[in-house]
Amino acid sequence: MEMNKQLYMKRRIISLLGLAFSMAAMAVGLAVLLWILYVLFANGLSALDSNLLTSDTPAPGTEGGGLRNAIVGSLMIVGLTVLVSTPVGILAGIYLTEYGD
Amino acid sequence: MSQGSVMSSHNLSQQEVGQVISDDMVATAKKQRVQDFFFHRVTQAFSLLVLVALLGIILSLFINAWPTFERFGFHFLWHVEWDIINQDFGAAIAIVGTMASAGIALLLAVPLAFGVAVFLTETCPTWLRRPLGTSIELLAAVPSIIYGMFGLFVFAPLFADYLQVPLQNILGGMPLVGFLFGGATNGMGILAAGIVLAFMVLPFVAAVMRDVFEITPPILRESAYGLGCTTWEVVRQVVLPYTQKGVIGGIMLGLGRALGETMAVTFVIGNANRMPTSLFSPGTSIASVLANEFGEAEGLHFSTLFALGFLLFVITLVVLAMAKVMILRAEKAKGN
Repeated sequence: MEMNKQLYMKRRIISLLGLAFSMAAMAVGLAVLLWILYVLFANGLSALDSNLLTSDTPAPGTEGGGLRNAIVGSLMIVGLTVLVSTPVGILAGIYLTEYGD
Repeated sequence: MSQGSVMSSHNLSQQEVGQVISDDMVATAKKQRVQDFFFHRVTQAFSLLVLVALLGIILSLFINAWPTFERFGFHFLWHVEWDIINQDFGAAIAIVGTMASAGIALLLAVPLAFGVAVFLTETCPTWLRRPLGTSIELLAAVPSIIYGMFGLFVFAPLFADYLQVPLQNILGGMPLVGFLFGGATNGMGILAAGIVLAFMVLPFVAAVMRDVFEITPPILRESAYGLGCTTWEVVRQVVLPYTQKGVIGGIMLGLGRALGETMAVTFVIGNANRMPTSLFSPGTSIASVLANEFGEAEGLHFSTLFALGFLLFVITLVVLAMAKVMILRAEKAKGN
C-alpha cells in the first residue's frame, strides 16, 4: 500500500502545532509567575528592614513602623487553627476509614 | 523420675500460669472492648461534628437570609436592582457577575492547563519536569490577596492600555459582538477579573490534569505510538479519553474555586452594582458584594447579604453535583 504523504504531513503538522501550543501555555504560566514574583520583590524589598518585625503599624501619616502586630496575629490564628482542626480532622478521618463506609 | 516430677510440676505451673493468663486476658479483652467502644464513639462524635458544623453553617445562612427570601420570593433570583436606600434588592447582578467572571476564567484556564499538563507529561525533558511542575504549583501558593493587588496595581493599567483599547478599536465596531467590547477602558471589569481568576485557577486544574495524565498505563500509550500515532493524537485520542473523569474533576475543582474567590475578584471587578453590559464594564460578584458591604449592612440589607451567601453555596453545590452527573454519564457511555 502506498503511503499517503499528504495525510502524514497534515498529521505531523497538527501534532507540532498542538505541542507548540502546549509549550506556549507553559511559557505563559511561567511568565505570569515570574511577573508576580518580580513585582513583589521589586516593590517589597525596599520596605524590608528590622523595623518590619519589631514595631507595630503606625498611625496613618506617620513615618516608620512595621508589621509586628499583623505577623503576630497571623501566627496566633494559624496556631489556633492547627490546635483546633488537627484533633478533629484526625479523629474524623480515623472514623471514616475504620468504621465508616 | 526427677525428670517426671519436673515435668509434672512444670505442667502444673503451666496450668496455673494458663489460668492466670486467661483471667488476665479476659480482663484485658474486656478493657479493650470498653476502650474500643469509647474510641468508636469519640471518633464518631468528631466526624459528626464536621457534619453538624456544615449543617449549622447552612442553617444559619438560611435563617439569616429568610427575611429577604420571604419578602422577594423567587423573584429575588432574577430581579435586577440593588438599592440600599429603598431596600429593594435582587441577586441577578451579582449572580451574572459571578458566573461571567468564573466562566471567562475557565475558558482561559482550561486550555492553558491542558497545554501545561501535556507539556509536563509528554514533551518536557525529564530533568526539567520537577522544577517546572513545582513552579506551576508555586502559582497556587500565591495568596489571593496578592493576585488582587497585582491585578489592580500592575495588571489593570497595562490591560487597559494594551488590550482593552486595541480590542475596542478592532472589535468594538463589529455587529453582534461589538457591544461586548464597549464601555470605559479603565482596566477594571468582568474580563479583567476573569483573566486574573484564570491564573489563580490554572495551577489547580493543571496539577490535577498532570497527575491523571501520568497514570495512563504506558501500554496504552505505547500501543498507540506503535500504530503510528503522533504525540498529539496519543494525547487527544488515548490519554484524554482514558483520563476524562479526572480531567472533569479537575475542571470542576477550578470552577468551584473561581466561583467563591473573594479578594482577587473584589480588587479588579470594579464593584459596581449595575448589570454589566459588556466585558469591560465593571460588575460585581456574590463574594465581592459580601466582602464590600458586610461592614455597614443592617436590617434587610444584612439578610440580603446572607441570602447571596446562601445562593453562592447553592450554586457551588449544583456545580459539584453536575460534575458528579457528568462523570457518571461519561462512565455509562464508556460501558455501552
